[in-house]
Amino acid sequence: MASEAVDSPPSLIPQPNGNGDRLTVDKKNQTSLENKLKPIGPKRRPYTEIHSRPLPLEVHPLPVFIPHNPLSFVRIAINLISHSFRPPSSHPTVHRGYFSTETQSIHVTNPQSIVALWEQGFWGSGSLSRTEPQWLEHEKRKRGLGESKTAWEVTQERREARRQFKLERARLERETIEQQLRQEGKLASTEQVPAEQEPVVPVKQTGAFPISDANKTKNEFGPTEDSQEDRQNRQVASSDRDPSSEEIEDQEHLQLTLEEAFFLTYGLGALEISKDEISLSSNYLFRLYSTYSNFPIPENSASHIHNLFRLQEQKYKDTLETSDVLPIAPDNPFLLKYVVYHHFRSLGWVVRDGVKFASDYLLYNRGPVFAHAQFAVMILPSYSHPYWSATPDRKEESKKKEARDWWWLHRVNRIQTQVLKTLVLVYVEVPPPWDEDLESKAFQVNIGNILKKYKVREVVMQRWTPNRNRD
Amino acid sequence: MADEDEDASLLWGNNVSEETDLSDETQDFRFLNNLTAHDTGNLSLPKRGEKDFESHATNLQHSMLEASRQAMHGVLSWTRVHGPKQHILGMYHPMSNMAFVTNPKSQHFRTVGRAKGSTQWLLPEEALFLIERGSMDCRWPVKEDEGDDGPIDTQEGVPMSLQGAYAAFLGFEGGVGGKLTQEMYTVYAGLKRSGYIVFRMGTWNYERGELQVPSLENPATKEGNWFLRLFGGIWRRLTQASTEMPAKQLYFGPVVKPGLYRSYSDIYRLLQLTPFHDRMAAPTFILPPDHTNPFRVVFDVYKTDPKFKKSACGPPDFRIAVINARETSMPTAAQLNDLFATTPYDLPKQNMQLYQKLKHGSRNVILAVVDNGIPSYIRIADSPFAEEKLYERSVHQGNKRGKGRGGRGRGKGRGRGR
Amino acid sequence: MAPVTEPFPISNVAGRYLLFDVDVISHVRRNHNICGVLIGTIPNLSQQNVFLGIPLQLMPEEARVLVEQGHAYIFDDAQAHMQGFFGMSRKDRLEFLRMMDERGQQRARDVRRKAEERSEKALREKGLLQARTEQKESEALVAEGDPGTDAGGSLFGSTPQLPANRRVADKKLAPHFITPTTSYPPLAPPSQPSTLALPEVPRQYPIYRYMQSKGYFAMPGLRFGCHYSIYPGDPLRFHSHFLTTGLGWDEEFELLDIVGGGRLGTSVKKTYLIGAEEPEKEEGEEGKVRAFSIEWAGM
Repeated sequence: MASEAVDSPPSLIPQPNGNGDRLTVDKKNQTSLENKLKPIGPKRRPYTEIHSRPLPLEVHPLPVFIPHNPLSFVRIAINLISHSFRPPSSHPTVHRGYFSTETQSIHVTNPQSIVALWEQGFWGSGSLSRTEPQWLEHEKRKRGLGESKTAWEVTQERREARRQFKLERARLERETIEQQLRQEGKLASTEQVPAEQEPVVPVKQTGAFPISDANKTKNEFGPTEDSQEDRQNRQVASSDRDPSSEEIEDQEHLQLTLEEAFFLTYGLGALEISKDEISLSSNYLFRLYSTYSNFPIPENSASHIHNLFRLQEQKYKDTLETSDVLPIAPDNPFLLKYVVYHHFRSLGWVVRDGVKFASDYLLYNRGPVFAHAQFAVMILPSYSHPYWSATPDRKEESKKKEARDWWWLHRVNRIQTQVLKTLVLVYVEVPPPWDEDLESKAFQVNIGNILKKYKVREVVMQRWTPNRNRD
Repeated sequence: MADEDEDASLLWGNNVSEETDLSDETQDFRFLNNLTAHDTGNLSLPKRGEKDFESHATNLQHSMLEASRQAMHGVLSWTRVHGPKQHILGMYHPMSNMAFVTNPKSQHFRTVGRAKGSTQWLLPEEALFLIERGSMDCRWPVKEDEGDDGPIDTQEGVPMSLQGAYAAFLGFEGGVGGKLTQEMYTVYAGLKRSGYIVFRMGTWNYERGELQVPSLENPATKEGNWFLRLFGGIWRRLTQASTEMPAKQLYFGPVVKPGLYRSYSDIYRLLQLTPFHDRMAAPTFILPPDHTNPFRVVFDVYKTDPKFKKSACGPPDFRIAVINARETSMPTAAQLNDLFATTPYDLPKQNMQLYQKLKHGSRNVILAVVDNGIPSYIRIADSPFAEEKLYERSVHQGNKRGKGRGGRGRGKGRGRGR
Repeated sequence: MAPVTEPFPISNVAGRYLLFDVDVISHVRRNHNICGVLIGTIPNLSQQNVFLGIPLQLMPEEARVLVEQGHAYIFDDAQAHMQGFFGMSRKDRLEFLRMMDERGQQRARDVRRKAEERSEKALREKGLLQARTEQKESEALVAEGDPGTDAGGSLFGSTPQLPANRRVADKKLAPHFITPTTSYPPLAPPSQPSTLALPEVPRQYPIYRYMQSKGYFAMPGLRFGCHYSIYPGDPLRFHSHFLTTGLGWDEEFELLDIVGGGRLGTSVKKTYLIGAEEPEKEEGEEGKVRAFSIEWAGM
């Protein structure tokens, strides 16, 4: 039973039961499941249809082979022949994005790309939404143009109702105590016990989204500033739009994390990052993302990596300073995250950021619209290679980096248990440094080889109670 | 959207996902008020009690607290008495840090102790627990004076108090089984009280367990007759992208170049780059043996079993390593590797669901992490996610169901025999 | 509850700080808002883990606060016992055995008396009077009876107990045996050592000391994901308010952990607290402890 899907009015949303029903995709129940998993609103297609492609690529399966039906032979033969003459493309569209140094993330502004990337594998988040880019829809609704409620609004309504309930309950408790105190003669009959400080009033619904003034750039949800480029891209995009569509300009863009963007570029070839109209090579992006994943960015690194761009990508001829393009440390934050991201994505999981639950990643079977994530991933770098204990300095350094305490572990595990997720610790074996000779290699990296140097080991953690396991 | 709700979960009152473990909070000793030290037959454990959030300065609250404290004091004052019928008399043996009981007749020795002739010898935790629960009357050894003739009767020894038992059995490094730490004892006693049968692992010395090499079973799938196998092979070549990739592609990317792909599985297969832990390989130790390494199995635990026999107990249901949270950090990958290497394979059943299989893992151990007297048990499992390739199970095969057996057979074949 | 003189001794057994005296346990609870963790098995309640008894394990932080403020001192219990019991003279041993024997006899008498009272009560309820002839039989049964097994009201109910024959039965009464809780007697309570040993404490000690000085109770918080679970009053009656983690003043920590703490606390209606001690500003001055609470804002 899709107890988590928000597709019914607030009063009918079922409460979770003690076992935490998991949503399992069971083929037998699929059609009934599809009916339950419809997005909000009367005219929407079921999620299984919207999200039928797990990746932003196309595949062309051969027709089904039925041994006793000679016609299927023919169909297959035709298919094979036509494909050899005119092979259909696996990459019908290559999406475009650009790297923003302010946000250390990749922005995609083309509306079709935004939709496609979200629908075909749940990549990125809307910059003005919780996850799925929904700002435009919400704006329309606010102005009376759209029909249905967004999930965000439903959640807000429920929160308000819950808050009222809590206030009422606190009031009743106070009265009981007052009564007791009066009985014991400690309180005069007219006195009252002071009420507790009320919690901060949540932001009202209407005020939460920015005023749709093209000049206003700051909003309450994030410091993302719309750059010149953003606005340009959007204007270009909106001029392509169907004139019969609404006039509201979508202020929102899709924000991809470094790992998501790199996988789309290097792994799938479905995303092209450009700067000054030049498409950046995966090689350069690898170094760029690694540099920007450190915080704070080392001095001069930013400008030197820009110089590298000019040398490598713009094919600039003169000499430029690149001495502060530092070698990528083998435990660079982007690299560690990427190794794990790539590992789980290539197994078929939808991998999303886990900061909401204080974890590195969340793993979804099919995607956030279908069910809650089953697993939460914490990445633990591991320095087992003999290189890391070869000198006492290194030994001490790696020991410090590996150290985690049990209170931390219980904290993380308890949070996951509260939201019905299982914690998976992913130990990543860090190889000895491999980028020391970067200058002699003209800053080139063999990405595939590097990824193969790392090793991943998953350890699943669960609380065990003696009471439940006795017999 | 399904997971929009998750933030809202903070607003749901009681956490339904967590079992209420009564031992998480101090319970009110007044529940024991109708019991005495002698008649404890009708103990029913309390439900989650009604506690207050803060002081109300009411007399009622104050008197309830006073009553609880008095109740607690009373119960803590109960004396350990041994009636003549059930008197187990033991004596402390300092050199080995054990206790022995001659000619025991009690049922207790079904699950503890080692026999040597007609005498039962108890490890320090076993002895301490029997004393603590009021079942054994243990005596200090008697100093031999010149005037003594012959062996001293155990009954001549001075009775050991509970405090004396703790002082004697804990912390002694030179005895059999090595040092018994407070944490080890806390875990032992807790599991015994929960009804388990607990034994010290293996040979009672510091050495770690043996490498557990997997058996050579390799469940190959039956692929049907030769014709289908041949056809399956041709079919596979037609429908799958070759996994031979030019090195340049991996160097520069993209890994998945534009081309003709028949299924998403083909694409996913190309993307697999980073090596993962191969559970089929024979395990090896990474670290040299080290008796200060706390990541080793200390206790073998068996579920309650009325027919249990010490001599033929079989493999344990659980293996426990005891960790002092204040002295030891979380394990490194190397320590985990070595710990798992000493536990046998415990594979999930074939018919389990995907999530169950992943959570179950291929090997597991329970860590009993103790923080100043409070144990927290964590089950860790070595679980290679790459064993269960999600893309082979899900419906993301486009609209193709594959030819009858061929489609499914192909998926299964890949999952096993590597 | 007998009064306790300070400073009182704290046992150091294998590096852990234990209390075996029930009066001391009640004393620290009432007077120093220290509750410790009861870790022992209660006799006859040995098949559950909800109620545990003596000994009480103190956190090193708790022991240190008590020692620092002069309320208690630490002594090596293993050493005290080895010296006391291995070197015990024959005379002392026999004296102690005799004393324990007497207690055992007294105990046996108490048990029998209780059994008599029970059967009299049963008789009165049934309103029956039985003949004396069966009394000898019943007395033999009583001598073998032991606590914890109610041999069945009906058995006693059918035979009368008459006080006149008690002296005869005394000689046949099999003694009970007692395992005392503390070793005093036969040992003398340990005296205060000349040099005060201060227990070693972890880096989160300052926040514990700070909270204890404000009157809060603390228990180890591992299961809840924090160093200490802090209560506004005795945990027997109150829920905990704070899930507290102590840090070093300059210690770096992950922002993600703050997110986690906030989430953790709010979902169980508690506040996540982090605290640290500011390094001393001047010589001899104790650093000030700062504490910060974190709650999920839920926007």
